Amino acid sequence: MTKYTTRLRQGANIRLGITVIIAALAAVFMAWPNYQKLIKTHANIFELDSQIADSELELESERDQYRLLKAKYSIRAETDQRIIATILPEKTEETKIIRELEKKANELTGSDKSLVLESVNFGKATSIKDVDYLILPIKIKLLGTKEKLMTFLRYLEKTGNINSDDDEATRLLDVKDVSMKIKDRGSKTEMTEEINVELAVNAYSLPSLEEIAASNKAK
Amino acid sequence: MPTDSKDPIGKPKKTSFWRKLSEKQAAGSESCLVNAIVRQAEKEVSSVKNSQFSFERIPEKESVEKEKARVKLANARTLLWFVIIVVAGIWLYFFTMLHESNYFHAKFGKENLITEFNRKTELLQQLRTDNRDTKKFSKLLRVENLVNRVLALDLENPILNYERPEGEQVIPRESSDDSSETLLKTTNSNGEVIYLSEAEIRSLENTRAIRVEFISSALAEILEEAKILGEEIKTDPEIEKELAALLTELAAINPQEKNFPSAVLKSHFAAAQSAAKNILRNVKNANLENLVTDIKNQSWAIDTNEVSETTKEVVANLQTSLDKLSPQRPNSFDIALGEIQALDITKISENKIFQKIVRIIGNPQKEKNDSDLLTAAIIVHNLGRINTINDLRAERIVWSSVIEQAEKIARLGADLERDTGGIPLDASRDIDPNGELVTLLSYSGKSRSGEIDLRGQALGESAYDQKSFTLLADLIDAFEGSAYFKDVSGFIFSKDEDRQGRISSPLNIKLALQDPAVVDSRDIEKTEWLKVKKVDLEEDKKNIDIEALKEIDFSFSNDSATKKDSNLKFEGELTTAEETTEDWHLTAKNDSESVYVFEALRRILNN
Repeated sequence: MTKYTTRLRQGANIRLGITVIIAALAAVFMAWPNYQKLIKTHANIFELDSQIADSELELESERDQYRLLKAKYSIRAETDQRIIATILPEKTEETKIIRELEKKANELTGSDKSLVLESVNFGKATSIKDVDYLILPIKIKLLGTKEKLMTFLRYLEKTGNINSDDDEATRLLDVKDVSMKIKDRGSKTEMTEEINVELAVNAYSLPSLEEIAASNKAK
Repeated sequence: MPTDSKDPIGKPKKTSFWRKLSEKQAAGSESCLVNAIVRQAEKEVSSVKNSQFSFERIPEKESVEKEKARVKLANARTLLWFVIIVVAGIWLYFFTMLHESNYFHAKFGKENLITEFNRKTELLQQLRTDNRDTKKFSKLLRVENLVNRVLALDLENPILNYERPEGEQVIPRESSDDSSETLLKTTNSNGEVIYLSEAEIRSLENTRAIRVEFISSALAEILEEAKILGEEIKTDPEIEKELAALLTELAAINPQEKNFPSAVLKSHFAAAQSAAKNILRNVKNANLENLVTDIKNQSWAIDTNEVSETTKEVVANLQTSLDKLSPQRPNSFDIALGEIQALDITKISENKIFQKIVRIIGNPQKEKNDSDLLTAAIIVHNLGRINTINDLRAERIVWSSVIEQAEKIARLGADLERDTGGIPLDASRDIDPNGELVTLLSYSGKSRSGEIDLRGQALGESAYDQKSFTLLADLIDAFEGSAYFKDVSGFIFSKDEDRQGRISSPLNIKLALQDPAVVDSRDIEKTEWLKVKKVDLEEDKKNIDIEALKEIDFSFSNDSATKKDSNLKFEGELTTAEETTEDWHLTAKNDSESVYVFEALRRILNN
């Protein structure tokens, strides 16, 4: 009887042991992959955090450089705006044109009066359909040597250069018609003979940004 | 001593003794305690002995029942453990599963691991995209900066092209004041003769040296920047394609060259500037688009999860306004700016968000607004105006070039550039190589019609009589053959002899301006014709007997008395003087042949 009960008790213990082992194995079997997945996900997130930190640092550095460039770009945009305002102002500014023309003529002429700005006539600024600028017609009469007149003509043709420096920008003047006539050659050489020149020049002006905005609102 | 109670299997209970013992212990009697322990130990031993005897004395039926109960209890324990482990396993399984799903995280307001992983992956990708975009934006801004610098340099500045002439001739200045200053004869790049004093030349040379130093160092900086940018941009085929032409031309430039700026350098730089103009057109638009994208991204990156309702509303309105921005529609910036000005960002209590918004739209409290939005608004309007300016400039007729070309043709015939093929044709078209025969007296050009009226005259000695119309016909053909002119019309051939016996032919023609880039069939025709003429001339040259030429008598004189009967011997030397060239006169043994011989000789000498 003692042996029987002892065996029963041993059997129960063995069953308990086996059950525990099986149950533990089953639990591990069931939970282990998920646990591994969990660990892997944690590791991946950790790795991601590290990469994000690196990328954020790199981005910040790039952004700093971009900000610097943007600051320069912004300054350039403002400079461009000033140059454009000189080339295509928002007002006709006839007085400014006459000052510029006389200044240039004075620069070119010497004591020998090799270039004389005889007259400058401004017409009425008119707008043309389908363009957003006004045209200001100007008639210029000059008398001078060929060399000086050609230099003056080249100056007019170089006006309105958008790539010029801020302080060198000039109003855009477009020589539409040219009429050159040798006044009187006489005994003078080609370098000293006087030539009469009549130029039909167009200057341009734009409506202001406020006017554009108002026009856009009206539309 | 009270009798101890026993458990079902006869084990005595020990509660009463230990309770008494503890009571005694509490009473503090140490000797009593030792005695009591000894007594109790003896009792325990005897009790165990008794119990063994009593166990053996338990009846068998009762013992089996108890054993069965014990086995059942053991089984129950096993089952219980099994259930506990299975439940724990299942719980573990579900826990990990639920952990991975959003269950716990949603329950406790925390983020699920997979969601976190996905979010962070997305964040990383976004960061990498931002990084790539920012790099690209930066590169494009640097490209724009580079091309702006390329375009700002002017190698065509006359001062750069100035060269001190060799064998200069000193002549007195023709000025009103009777100064004794001597002048040097110089020729500028346009072929114009200019008289300058030594001091003026030195001043020009000094100015040129300073200018050359400035431009050459600026060019060296540009090349360095282009090199660095070129290396970086190799990773970006889109930009590399744009920059390729510019970089190739710049790479061929040596800013430290001895004769800066040489013709080769200027040619490469002109090509670089042409490429730069094309790049600038595209890159300006691209940079504006990038800036607008960046502005929108910045506004969408504002985190409004844990902010006040007011802030949320302001940010939402800002995002809506910024979304309307379109680089293609400049008025969208005006509309957005108007809407944004109406937003009261001072209501935002979160400083971090306020700073972010200020960076995008500027601080309304500050007078100077240097925000990205305002920069973009300036640029979008600039772009439209720059296009207008470029269009107006592109339509301009460069009258100085037209006049120069007309004068060049009057002297040399059609332009050399169009007569390529390796054969310089100027020698065959030296209509007026000394600039004395044909004089253009007036020009009248109109941009709208693209027409030009030329008036002038051809004035030559009596010998010219036989060639005057031919010369004018050559001149008309030369204009027609030029790349700059076409449709020559309105010409009348007539001639007259003045009192001095000179032959005068008026020149009065109308021309239409031609785009040099457009090939005109007649230009090629004339070119071919001129090539044939050159071949004929070569043949003429071969047929000229140089020895026989030496026997011909020439005289060059402005003395009308000697013109008609001069029969001086040519002694193998031509004496020319500036003041006499206007009245060159040629006589030979045989007058009718002399003109042709003279022309052939002149052409040979020109060659």
